[in-house]
Amino acid sequence: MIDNLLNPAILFFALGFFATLVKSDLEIPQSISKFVSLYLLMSIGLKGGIQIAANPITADILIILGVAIAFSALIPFAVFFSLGNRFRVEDKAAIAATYGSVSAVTFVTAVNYLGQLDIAFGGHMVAALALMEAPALISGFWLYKRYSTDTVQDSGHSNWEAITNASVLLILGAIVIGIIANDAALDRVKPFTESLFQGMLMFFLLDMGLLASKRISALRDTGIVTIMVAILIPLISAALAIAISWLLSLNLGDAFLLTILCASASYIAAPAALRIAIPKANAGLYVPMALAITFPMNLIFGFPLYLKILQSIL
Amino acid sequence: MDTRKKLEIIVTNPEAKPVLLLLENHGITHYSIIRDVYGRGDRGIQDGNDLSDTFINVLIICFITTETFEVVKESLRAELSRQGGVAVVSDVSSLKH
Repeated sequence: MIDNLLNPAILFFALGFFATLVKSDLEIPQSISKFVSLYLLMSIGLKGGIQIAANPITADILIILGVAIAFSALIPFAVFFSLGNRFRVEDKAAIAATYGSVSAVTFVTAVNYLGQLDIAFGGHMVAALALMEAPALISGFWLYKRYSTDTVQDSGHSNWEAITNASVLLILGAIVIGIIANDAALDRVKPFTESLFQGMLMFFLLDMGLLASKRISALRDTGIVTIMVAILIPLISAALAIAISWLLSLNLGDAFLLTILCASASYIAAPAALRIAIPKANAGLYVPMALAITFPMNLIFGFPLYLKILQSIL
Repeated sequence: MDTRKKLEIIVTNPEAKPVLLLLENHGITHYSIIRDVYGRGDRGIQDGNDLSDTFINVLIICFITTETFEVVKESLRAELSRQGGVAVVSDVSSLKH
C-alpha cells in the first residue's frame, strides 16, 4: 500500500487534487489533456494488438471476453435495483450505466502498475476494455426506458454513440493496427508509443487530480449516501470479478485487469452518451461519483487490495 | 435590408448534435457554432472541466426567415424541453445575407 502511495503517478494525482483545494491557478489546457488521453489509449491499444498477434486466440480468451461483456451488461441491472428509491429513475439508470461501463484511464494506470511489478497479462484484456464500454450504456438506457414514466425517445443514436465513441474506436483501431502492422515498423515507433508512456501517464494523472478535485465539490449537497454508493459499488463488482477469476483459474495479470475493469466507472465515454440517451439524469451526480470518488479509491486503495486478494487465492 | 430572425441556442456539447440534426431537418443548413462556451444554469456550472465535453456548452447561431422560424419553433421547443438548453430569438436586419 505504501509503495503504491509513493508511486510518482499517484503522487502527481495527489498534487493535482491539492492544487485545486488550495485554489492554485495550475491547470492543463483542455486540448493537451485530450491529446494525452488519446496518446495513452493509442499506446495501450497498440501494445494489446502486438500481444494478441504474438499469441493466438484460444477458447479461454474468448471465454474471458464473453465474461467481460456479460459483466458490463449485467452490472447495471444489479446497481439499478440495489439503489432502491433513494434516486430518481433517470439518475439510477445513469449511475447503473456509468458503473457497468469501464474507465480506460483506470485500466491504463493498472497496466502501468502491473508493469512496475513485472506481472504479465494478455493483450486480449485491452480488447476486453474496448468491448466493455458499450453494453453497460445500452443496459442503462434499456432500464431507463423500461422504468421511466416519461416518454422516452428511441435509443438508436445514443447506442451508436456508445459503440463509436472516440475511446472505443481508437482502442479497437490501435489493436487491429498492432495485429496487422509489420514488426520492423512497430519497432521504429516504440520510442513514441512505449518509452514515453510512463511519463505521459504521470502527467495525465496530474490533470486527473485537478479534475477530480474540481468535481468533488458537486457531491457536497448530495449527502453521504451518494459517496457510500460510489465506494461500495466498485468493491462489490471487484469481489464478483475476483470470484469469477478464481472459478476460471485466470492468470494473475488477467484476473487483476478484469477486476479493475469491473470495479471502475466510466467518466469519459459514458457521460457523452448519457447526455443524449438520458438527458434528464443529473451529470453533476454520476460524473463526480465516478471521477472524484471511485477513480481515486481504486487508484490508491483498490489496486493493492485487489492484487493482494488475487495473489492469495490464485 | 432584409429582416431576419436571429436564433441563438445554448446547449451542452453532446446535445448539440441532435439540435443541429433537427435544424437541418427543417431546412436550416446555414449556422455558426461557437464552442467552449462557459456558464452556469439549471444543471450547475459548465466549466469544461472534464474529458467527455459534457460540462461545456456550445452556442449555435442562425439567421432565418420568419416563415422558417414558425416551422421550426415548436420542434425546437420540444427538443430543448427534453434534453435541456436555452434558445432566444430576436429580430435583426441583414446588411448582407
